[in-house]
Amino acid sequence: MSTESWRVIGASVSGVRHRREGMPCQDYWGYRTLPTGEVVVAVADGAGSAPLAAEGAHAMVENALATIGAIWERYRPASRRAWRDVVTQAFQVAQHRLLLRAAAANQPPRAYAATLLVVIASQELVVCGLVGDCAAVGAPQHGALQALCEPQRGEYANITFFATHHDLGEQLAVQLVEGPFRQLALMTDGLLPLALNLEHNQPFAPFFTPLFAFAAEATSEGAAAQALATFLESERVNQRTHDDKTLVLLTRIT
Amino acid sequence: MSSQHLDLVKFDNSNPEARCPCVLLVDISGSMSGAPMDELNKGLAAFQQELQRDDLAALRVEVAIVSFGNGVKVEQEFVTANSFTAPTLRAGGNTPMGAAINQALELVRKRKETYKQHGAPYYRPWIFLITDGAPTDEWRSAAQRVQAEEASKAVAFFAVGVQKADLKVLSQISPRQPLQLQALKFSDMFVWLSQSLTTVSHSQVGEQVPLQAPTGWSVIE
Repeated sequence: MSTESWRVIGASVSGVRHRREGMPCQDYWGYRTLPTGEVVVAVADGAGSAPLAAEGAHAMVENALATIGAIWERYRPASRRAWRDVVTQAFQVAQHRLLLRAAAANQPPRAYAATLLVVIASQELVVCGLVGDCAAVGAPQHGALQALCEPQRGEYANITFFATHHDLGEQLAVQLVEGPFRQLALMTDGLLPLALNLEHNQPFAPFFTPLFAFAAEATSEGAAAQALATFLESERVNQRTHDDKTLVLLTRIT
Repeated sequence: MSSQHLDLVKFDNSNPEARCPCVLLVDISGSMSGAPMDELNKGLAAFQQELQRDDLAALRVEVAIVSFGNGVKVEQEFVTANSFTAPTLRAGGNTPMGAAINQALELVRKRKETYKQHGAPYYRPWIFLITDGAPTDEWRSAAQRVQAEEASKAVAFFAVGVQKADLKVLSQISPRQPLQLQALKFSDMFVWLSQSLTTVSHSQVGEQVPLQAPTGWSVIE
């Protein structure tokens, strides 16, 4: 049996414009610890112009986590291929349930438009599934930070793809990255210009290194999450991005 | 306290600002001389002023101007709004609208290449045609190109007719319904345009911006 465990610290906060206009935060995130010690984290960003995006982001995250949790209750996927399939299923189930929800509410699925990033972190490898423009970065045991997935953008700056209703066969990108990683960071697009060089998908180390040090030294998840939210709402972050933003930091405890 | 580390977080400065390009395609044929030209020039000055009032728009909106009259002339290559100075245009000549449209589409195509080379994100380019007449050159091939580029969402093309402009021809060029300018309300029109571009330049991923109705300066037929 594996004895690994992960500490998870995360926060979603509203962007300044949503706050000014009295709109809810349309980002959402959640995680589950799996029975064999791995952790699954999901992060979603609801589209600004979709009226039910906050609900869409929430539903996508919860359904993806529930799907992977339910699979792990029965068995831990053995092969690399099976890990990939599990993440793909999580997206399929989450989208399927969203389409049913939309039909029941007599709403077009795009009213719930949201991107989705799902990451399963284990001692030996990390699996990332992504539709949209979220990002995941890993700090390996040794060496430089690594981008674990490629944020997806359309031709124009305000265009991306949504896990809620775009063709998963075309848009879902699943990556398997061999570990071991000490720490991981997941984020929605509001933070991307601050955290990565977008042209080369290159993590900016002076952004991540202090965050990882913070997460490594944190003793209480609740207090740390509060400190992280305060940071995400700080003036210096808001000067650079007006969008909602989510940041989740994972630290492997050995 | 571990949260002290958060004060040390630094931000990447290598990502270029997103760009929001707009070509003004302006008829300066002889029939525009006098009051229409004066009002148009005042409108351009208002356009500059409005764009520069918004910090983000001033960095993101890029303006180019193509005139047509005595031939087709690029009066202004693409420049960000914060370094844009409105020119004073002078009327003369006829209406080579077809060639001017091709020139504008070409400017947009080249600008997109430059953005891609520099890794700059960009919004859908706008071409804003203003005319008081009808084309005096071959315009159907240019019209076809506008239709195709609108259909593939490569540009958004808007046409405004002034005074006795031929709106029938304009509606064959522009898939969006051409608008008729009320009297010579160029300044109101340019304020609307700058506000619309400002809204687009603020829009975030996943946000399609609904345009404000062009009220106050256009005739709704």
